[in-house]
Amino acid sequence: MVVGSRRRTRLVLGGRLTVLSFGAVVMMLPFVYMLATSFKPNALVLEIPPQFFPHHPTTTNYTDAWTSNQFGHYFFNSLWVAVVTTVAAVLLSAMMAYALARFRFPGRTVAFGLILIGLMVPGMMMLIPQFLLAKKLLLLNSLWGLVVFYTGGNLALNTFLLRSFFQDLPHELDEAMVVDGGGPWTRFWRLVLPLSRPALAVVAIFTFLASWDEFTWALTIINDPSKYTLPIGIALFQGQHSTSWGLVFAASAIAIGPVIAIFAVFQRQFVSGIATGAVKA
Amino acid sequence: MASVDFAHVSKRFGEDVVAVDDFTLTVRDGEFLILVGPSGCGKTTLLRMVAGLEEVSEGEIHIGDTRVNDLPPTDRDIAMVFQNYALYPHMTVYDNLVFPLRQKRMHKDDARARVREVARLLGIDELLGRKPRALSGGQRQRVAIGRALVREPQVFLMDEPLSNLDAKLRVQMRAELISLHKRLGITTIYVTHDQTEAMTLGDRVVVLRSGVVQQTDVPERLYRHPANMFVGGFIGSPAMNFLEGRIEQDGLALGEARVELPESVRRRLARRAGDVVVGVRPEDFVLSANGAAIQAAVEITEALGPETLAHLRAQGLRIAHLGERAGKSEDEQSSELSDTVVVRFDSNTAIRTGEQIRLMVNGERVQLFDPASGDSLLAR
Repeated sequence: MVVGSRRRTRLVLGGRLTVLSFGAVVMMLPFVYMLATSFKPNALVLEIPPQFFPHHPTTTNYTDAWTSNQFGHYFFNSLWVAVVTTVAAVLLSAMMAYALARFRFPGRTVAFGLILIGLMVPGMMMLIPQFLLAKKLLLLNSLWGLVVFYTGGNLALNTFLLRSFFQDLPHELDEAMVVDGGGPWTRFWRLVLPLSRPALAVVAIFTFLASWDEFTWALTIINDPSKYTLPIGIALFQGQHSTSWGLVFAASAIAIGPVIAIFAVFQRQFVSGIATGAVKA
Repeated sequence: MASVDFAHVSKRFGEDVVAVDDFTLTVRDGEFLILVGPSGCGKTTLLRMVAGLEEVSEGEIHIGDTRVNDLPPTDRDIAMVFQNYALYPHMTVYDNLVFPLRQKRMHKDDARARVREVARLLGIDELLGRKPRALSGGQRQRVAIGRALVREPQVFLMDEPLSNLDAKLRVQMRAELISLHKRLGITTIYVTHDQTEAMTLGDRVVVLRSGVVQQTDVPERLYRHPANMFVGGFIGSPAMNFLEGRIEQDGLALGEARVELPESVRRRLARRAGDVVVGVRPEDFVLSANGAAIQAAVEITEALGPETLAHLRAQGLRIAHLGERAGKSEDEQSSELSDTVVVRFDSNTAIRTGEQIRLMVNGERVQLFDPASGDSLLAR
């Protein structure tokens, strides 16, 4: 009986590993192919069968990508937009979430409902109204136009996530700080934010990714090539008649760098953040 | 330091729930007052109203000469110790202690000196650099008390501060709290559901039930002269035994047995004959060779070292039931032993399970209650 149960455990473990390995391969194959292709000379990019280990690796695609079309400039535009958006969106949504989680005021439920509705409207539907608004606000063709609308677009999800996290923070800590003389701002800065680092890391990563990757809105309002962001810059490598895939993949690999860096920095908080609420602490 | 004055204070949650009903009391300057009662009796709500964490629905609360109903907590000059300590988990012990002083904008050097002084007083000066998660339960409790002490408040509010500690540590911290209060003399309101804490810590104890005060008295009188069956049952462990009895010409009839009552009690009950509920503390039974004594079979014995508790099933004696039995939880009421009498013997008395014994009740010590209302017939 013991032998039977051991064999079953092994079978289950083997099954799990097979499924996980399959999933990992599906996820990683395009990424590995992108990396492999980015190191291939242009002539060998589309060879059949595809080579995952280039025979004649070269870094030419990287140097070409970085030096052509002001790619480096696009990179820093994107970085600026993503960082400012992340800081603004995380801070604003944390304040909103704090108010919704901890204060009772008329219209609280309605306000939260409106935020949730914001989550349900597809971004594409907002494109034209946003464009008209950006025009009125003189934000067309400006990086601030990206920051303002990216921030707005991220507020709903961030507020939703942070609100539930803040609600779970022990009320007694708030009350202790109230008795100790801490006002609402002190409690926000000195209690809620430091205790919510995992949740803040999650929303920071989501916001950074969303604004770093965003293509449609940037393409819609930016005309001036000096204000292009990275996704537009990468798209420029795709020509009407031919596409330099080596350059596209090298540029994409470069674009992934900051995302990996951000994830590495916040990794510990991120992992504990997505597990938050699963078990009672 | 200051007195705390409650005048007709009530607290309602919504339309129906009355957490505290018309509470009037003055906590004297420097007094250690205990609010005790079962869960949901309103004791914590009262404390939170003093702290300003809960609004007062009716009535007034004064701290010293100041009416505090509408003052924010921070302006009330109070400090509070919470049940789960509520230490700021991301701050070191030092930062936890200095936080209230920083909020008062005290000069850095003065604040540091004060924190060190309080830390020394509580024996936590070695722990100042640690985070709360690196502290034991007792150390956390000391830090929580320290954070309250450091402000030198007029009133100290404590919400079941020892309930998360293990039994041994609780006894130790109880003694430390008594000594701390003796040294500092700060007016303290202390909430607990533990009657032992209430009895050992308090100068005076307020027993609450469903938001209504049952009795306010010094611990000794609360134990010896409970105002009603609820107080008699709640205060004291094991609880007071309630037996059906009858006042007769020649004394108190308990089943077949007759208990002689003191002259003063007899005079009081001169015009009252009939059924009563007799409250007898477990230590107020004595073994007796008298033929007219209560006969009982020993069901269970619990040897506790200095004393032995015996659960007895007594012949001809009926346990009094007053709707909901005073001070006993549902578990206790439904247990098989709920119909037994608990008697406390010193450990030299040989009592064995299954044995038949004869008992008498110390007439000087019995309490008599009205079977209908549960109120004491001997209350002064």
